[in-house]
Amino acid sequence: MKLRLLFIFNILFLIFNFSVAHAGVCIWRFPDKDIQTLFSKATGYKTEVLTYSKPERVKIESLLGAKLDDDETKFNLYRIYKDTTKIGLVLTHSVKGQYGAIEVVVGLTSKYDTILKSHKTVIGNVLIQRDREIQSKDLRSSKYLGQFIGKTVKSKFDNITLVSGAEKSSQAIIFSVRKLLIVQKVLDQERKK
Amino acid sequence: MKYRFLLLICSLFFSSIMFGAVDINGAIDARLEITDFKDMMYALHGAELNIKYTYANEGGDRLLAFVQIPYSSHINSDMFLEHYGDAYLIVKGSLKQPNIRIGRFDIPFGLIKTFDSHTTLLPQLFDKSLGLKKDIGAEVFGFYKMLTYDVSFTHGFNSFDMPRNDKPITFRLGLETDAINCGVSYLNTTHSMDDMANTKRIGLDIEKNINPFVIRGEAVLGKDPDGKGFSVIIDFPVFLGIDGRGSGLIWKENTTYQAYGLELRKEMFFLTVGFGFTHTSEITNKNLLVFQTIVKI
Repeated sequence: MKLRLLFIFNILFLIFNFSVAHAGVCIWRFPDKDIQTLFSKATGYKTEVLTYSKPERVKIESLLGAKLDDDETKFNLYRIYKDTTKIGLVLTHSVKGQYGAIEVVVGLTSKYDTILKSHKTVIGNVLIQRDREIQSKDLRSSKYLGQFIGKTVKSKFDNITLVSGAEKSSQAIIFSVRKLLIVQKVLDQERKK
Repeated sequence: MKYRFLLLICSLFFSSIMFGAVDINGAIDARLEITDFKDMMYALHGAELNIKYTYANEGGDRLLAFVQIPYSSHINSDMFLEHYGDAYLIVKGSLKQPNIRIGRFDIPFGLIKTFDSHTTLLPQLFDKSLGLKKDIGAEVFGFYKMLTYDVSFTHGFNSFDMPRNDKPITFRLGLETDAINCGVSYLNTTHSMDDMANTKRIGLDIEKNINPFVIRGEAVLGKDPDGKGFSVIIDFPVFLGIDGRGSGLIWKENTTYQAYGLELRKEMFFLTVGFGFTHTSEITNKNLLVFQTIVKI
């Protein structure tokens, strides 16, 4: 009887939740291969799973201007090494595109800011590791993804030119990249202070 | 002494969690199955607790331990043996170096390697063509440029088609590009009843995105017993975030087995609900309707 009720609940759940977007935890599917594209000098990587406290969640949501999804309870972070020296970070995220999940891989590096006279974390490269978009080629192109290179958590993203005909998915990728930058700032950078 | 050891294990475990090296998750897959439009059965198809631990030294990840603690209301069935109970250790080489896996894992043959059939409601070709999916043993795997390679030496435990599949050796060479993933596989086993006979299987698999569709195909040919067949799986979006999947397979070995099916699935945060229909050429249990609920933890 309980199971019967469970299935009725599921059908109702399905009907009433048609339009809600989904995002979630995402693994890095081809680290050994992608790492060559993101960091050509890399020799290894360390996997970390980042969870957050309630105040950290509030801060992420405040910076993002949106709620984290209920299933976003943790994020994967990969520290990239050249021998024993840290040369960068990789974060992954799955976001809902127009035709299903788009899995985004973001490579971050450290760059010296001559004005602030300190190091800042900037985007080194962005990859799409999996998608089902009709305009996949354009969304994966360096013309579109190249616009993210050099951006930081403080950068404006509204100057990114969206892929024509795939505006919804382009926006989803921007949102995903911004989210990862904010997650890295709150759950990695600020924890070290 | 026992308590000290337990304390040490617990402290190692919790310190690993503190350093983000342990990842724990789980899922419950409950199903309502209606056979031939009359017999109805509720089943806890599978509950799983997955624990993954990564050990890294100053140069990067070196060791990955994965254990799945499973439970099912039909724990000894073929379906359960096919899809649950992974437990392995991966010794990671440096980048571009081979990796070694020891434990219970999916053998590297055809679509088993590239297609995750853990929760799918549709029949799979390996069920008929190999009679084996997960096995206990050792595997060497890695990649070179666009090529991937996997070789496994396993025992033949948990085969659901004995006396075949004793000490199988499995090999797959794959090509992975942005445009296409494909591979060629080979499996050789001895019969546990007759050492003179070897079952041989050769397979070709392909995965191609023709967005928004994902098309997967597999063809398998073999001797002792002689058999041949193929399967096609197509993923497609339906509407409003519902994912669809259609599949068809044929396997000829003494008799001809055919199956086709359709699956619809909607994922919502922690909950996935699915519906599947399968028609097979079996004399009984020809039609199977399944309503599925997966709760992720």
